[in-house]
Amino acid sequence: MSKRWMMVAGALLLLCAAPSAVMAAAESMMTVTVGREVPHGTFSDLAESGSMAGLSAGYRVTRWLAAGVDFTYFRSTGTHDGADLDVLEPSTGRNVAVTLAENWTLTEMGLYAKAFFLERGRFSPYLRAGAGAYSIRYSQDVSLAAATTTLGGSEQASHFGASGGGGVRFRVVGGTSVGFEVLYHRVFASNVDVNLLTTGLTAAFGPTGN
Amino acid sequence: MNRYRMTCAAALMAVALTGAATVPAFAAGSGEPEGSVLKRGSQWMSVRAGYAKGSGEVAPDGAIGGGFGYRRFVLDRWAVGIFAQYDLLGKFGSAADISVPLTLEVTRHTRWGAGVYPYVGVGGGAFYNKLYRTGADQSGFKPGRYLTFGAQFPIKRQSMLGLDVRMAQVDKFDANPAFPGPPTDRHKLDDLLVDLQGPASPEMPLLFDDNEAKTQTLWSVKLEYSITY
Repeated sequence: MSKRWMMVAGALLLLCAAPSAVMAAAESMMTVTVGREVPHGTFSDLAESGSMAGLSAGYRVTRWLAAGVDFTYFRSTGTHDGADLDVLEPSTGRNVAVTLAENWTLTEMGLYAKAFFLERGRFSPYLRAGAGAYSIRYSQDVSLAAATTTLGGSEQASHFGASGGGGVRFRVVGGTSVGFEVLYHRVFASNVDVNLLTTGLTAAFGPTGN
Repeated sequence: MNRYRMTCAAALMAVALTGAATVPAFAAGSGEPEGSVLKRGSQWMSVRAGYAKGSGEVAPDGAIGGGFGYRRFVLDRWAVGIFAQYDLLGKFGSAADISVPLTLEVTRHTRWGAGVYPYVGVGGGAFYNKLYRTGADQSGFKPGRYLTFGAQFPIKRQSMLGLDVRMAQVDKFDANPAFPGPPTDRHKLDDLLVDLQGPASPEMPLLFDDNEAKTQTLWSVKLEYSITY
């Protein structure tokens, strides 16, 4: 281990050994999350890894429990994106060579709860669970076409879903903190469930002094 | 805009303006400490009734709806509420479009002057939608989310009268003998989750000109009476 990493590890140990966190109940906070999403299960056959962004507003009900609302947006390309196809154009009855553009987007709005444990110094690890309404949208378009085509459109459906995972946050100063979060989302669709694993960096802002 | 809708809108505006004009006088004599109804721990029990409508290029004129709910202020000016409504979104002849939203919402309230308490918030929940007496009735629960805003006016001690506006987004039913909607032969997203598996080929499900939205906006504008404690 290099000297630099030894120093980083030492600093982290000192932070962990610091007195217990001073975070109190009645703390309110807005959190922004950006990161990656990876489809899992059957959905991984349909969508590639993509990006996600979220915004949540939460309130620390007790020293160990916080709850709030969140909105998250997920976007990824389909596994058929960029495929070259020779499709039968229904409006003319002729074959048209196209390059397919395929996208999946999900939006989620719901409630969540975080249970904090083993808080040391500025570090606050937590487990998180949530539930909400997910809107799934699938779209097809053409990025290249040899002739005019009506290929393109979108289908959409909303379903209930749930998420669970955990993370850690590091209080920087006052009511501002940064962190890392991993969540697993399951959307209860009719035929097959849609599963996503998300990893994100978080930045949280709240009134100083909470 | 037809005469019926104009009448409804005019009546609601008249009630709102009358309330805005007369309420501060009531509020002044209510003896309620200013803004105390927005303090943490404050609770509101509400009933509401008014206008409700579903969006669409071909949609029936809006009709009436009502509901009730409970709000609790978990922080100063921030409330969590739970509401149940029954909205008749419109009728074509005897066929009716009905929505029963069962929802949870978070609202941010504030106070303007002595007697106006506006708020804005978001919510979501289960919307039980029903197409009734259509010849091919459909019903079911769908997830929905909404934006809400409005204003409350104290009318006497521990009583508020206000106006609540809600814009909810929910999935549409497919076309029905009475109500228009996406064609029934259009792909369903839940089927695509199965049918799109496998390599790209001309035989895979392809969407040709499938651009009609599969969601609709449900509007409601309701008078709300709340008891605060």
